[in-house]
Amino acid sequence: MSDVALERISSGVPGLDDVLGGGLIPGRSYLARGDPGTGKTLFGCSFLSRGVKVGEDALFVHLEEPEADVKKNAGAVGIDLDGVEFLDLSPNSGVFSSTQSYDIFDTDENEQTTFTERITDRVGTLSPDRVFIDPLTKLRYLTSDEYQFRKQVLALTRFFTEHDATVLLTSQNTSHSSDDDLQYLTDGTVQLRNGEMGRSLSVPKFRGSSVKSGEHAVRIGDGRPRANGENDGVSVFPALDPAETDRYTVGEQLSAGVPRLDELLGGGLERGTVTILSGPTGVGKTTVGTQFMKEAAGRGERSVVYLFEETTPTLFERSEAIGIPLEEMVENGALETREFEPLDNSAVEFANHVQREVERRDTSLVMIDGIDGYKLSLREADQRRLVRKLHSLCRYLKSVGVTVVLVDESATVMGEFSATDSGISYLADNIVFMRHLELNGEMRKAIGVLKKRTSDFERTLREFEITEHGITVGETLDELEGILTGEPQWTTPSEDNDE
Amino acid sequence: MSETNSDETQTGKAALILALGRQKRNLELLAQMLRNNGYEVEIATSMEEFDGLIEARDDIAVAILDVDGFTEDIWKRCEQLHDRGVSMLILAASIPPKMREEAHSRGVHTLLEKPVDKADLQATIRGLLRYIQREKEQEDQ
Repeated sequence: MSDVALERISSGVPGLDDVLGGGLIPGRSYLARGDPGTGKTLFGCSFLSRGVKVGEDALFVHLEEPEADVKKNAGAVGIDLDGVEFLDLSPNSGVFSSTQSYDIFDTDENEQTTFTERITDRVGTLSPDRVFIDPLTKLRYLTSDEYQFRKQVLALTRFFTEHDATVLLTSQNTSHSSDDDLQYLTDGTVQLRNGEMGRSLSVPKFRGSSVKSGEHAVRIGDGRPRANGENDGVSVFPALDPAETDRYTVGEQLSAGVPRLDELLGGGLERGTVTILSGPTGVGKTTVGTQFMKEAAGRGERSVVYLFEETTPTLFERSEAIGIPLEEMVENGALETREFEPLDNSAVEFANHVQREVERRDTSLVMIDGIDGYKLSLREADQRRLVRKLHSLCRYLKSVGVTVVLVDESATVMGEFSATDSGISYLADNIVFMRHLELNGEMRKAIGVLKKRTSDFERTLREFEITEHGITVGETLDELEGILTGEPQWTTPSEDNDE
Repeated sequence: MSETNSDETQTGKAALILALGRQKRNLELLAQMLRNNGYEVEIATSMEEFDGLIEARDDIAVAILDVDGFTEDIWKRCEQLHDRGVSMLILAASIPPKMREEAHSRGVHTLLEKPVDKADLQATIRGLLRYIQREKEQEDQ
């Protein structure tokens, strides 16, 4: 069956429908599995809440947590369960009293019938469009063996299908009781994880449709409304799909607005390319990047700068001092600045933020300032994986014609030149480097282009200055050698040069 | 239910089963199952209640004793019931051979270890009632 042939309903979890190719297929059964604390119940709450919002009947069958606790926990992250019907099959505190405990019959023989009857009775009465059973694996304790358990689960899922209900089940996987078998009994599986590097999910199985592969980031809100308008509750941030990012469209040259800088670049930066601005601290990398954003604003284009190493007020202050009106650009909608709190986001979430900015708000230039901060701020155990995710993000941005500027700080202020210290030079179509240099006892700056994939470029260095009027690029420094060492020498000493 | 006929005494009245046990939930579940099978059931959660019921009812067909352990109190009741010709069934979590021997020597017909299979328990009770019926028929002849 093709994806378009099947009707879809929203899972209720923002972002998850994108992963699922449009949403859940109605009338089918799905399994949310994961360790304790991965958010399975909250996924179910979102699924039911969404149903109520669109006028469907939703039934929550809870076998562990009492209704009050379920509502309280869902409310704490901003999920409203008003209108959801509850069937409480959770044990109450009475089981601890002598009047409720028993040993005369096996639990499975005594309670299993009650369990299934109560579910089927309620479903028969309510005819819900959506049913959430949390956790289904409780039924395992009420059946005498694995065969009986599988038979009961199959019977239940078929019963729901006959009643046209879409069902979400949760399972608990323990060392003595694996839930692997449940994957075979349902139409799809959402695997939830909560590791050191944050929450994530994948969809290993989804009958009747293709899904986005990979590990997608998950965020559970804190119940407070967000200033940026993001959804509260549970959200999924789909990982970039490499298959969607293989189309490169290198566009026209974009001027830096500084003629001699354009000359260095062989005319400017091409739209849809990745440029690394490399250099030591204080040399002016961010300033050069903001110069490109200022020019983009002049063309009526929007830019976004992601700040990993400094705050927005500091950036505004520095830019105003050199005649680049970033604050005004923000007010005009030509620029957005986003700061990232350390370890608050995963690399997948960050990539998803960028993707949404580009797709929903027509952004043409993205600057990431800087790479070291990106590596330190985002949750990821392996630095190489972080760089790979940055690579994927850059490929995606290129594929949609967005120009990318990566600010990369080199460790040494002068001497021992290397293009970048971050191992990211392979990402770049263009590498522009800046150096401090000491000339006749005076600290000065030089700028040059090391690499340009899509056009020719000037292979000499130029001196540049950052003044209150902006960036000034001087003549080529063709009478100096050893500039990259930071201690250049005149190739033809003269009186003038000695001054 | 097909069992109903065999669960009735010769007079056509539902057989009376007396159940003794300390765990109330056990007795509720037991009574629920027995009543669903057409028996009349009386339950007692203390020895005093049990003694009272023995005094008050002379039509008890079977006594089911759900015991935590085998004490002198239990043996005493077993002897009383045996003297009155009431068939006895003991349910216990664990039944050591010595206790099993002791119980049979005091007239207990059947001992089952908990948890019991409902079908096994139902079959045992039906068997006991048929045994009682046959005994009565032989006496009448």
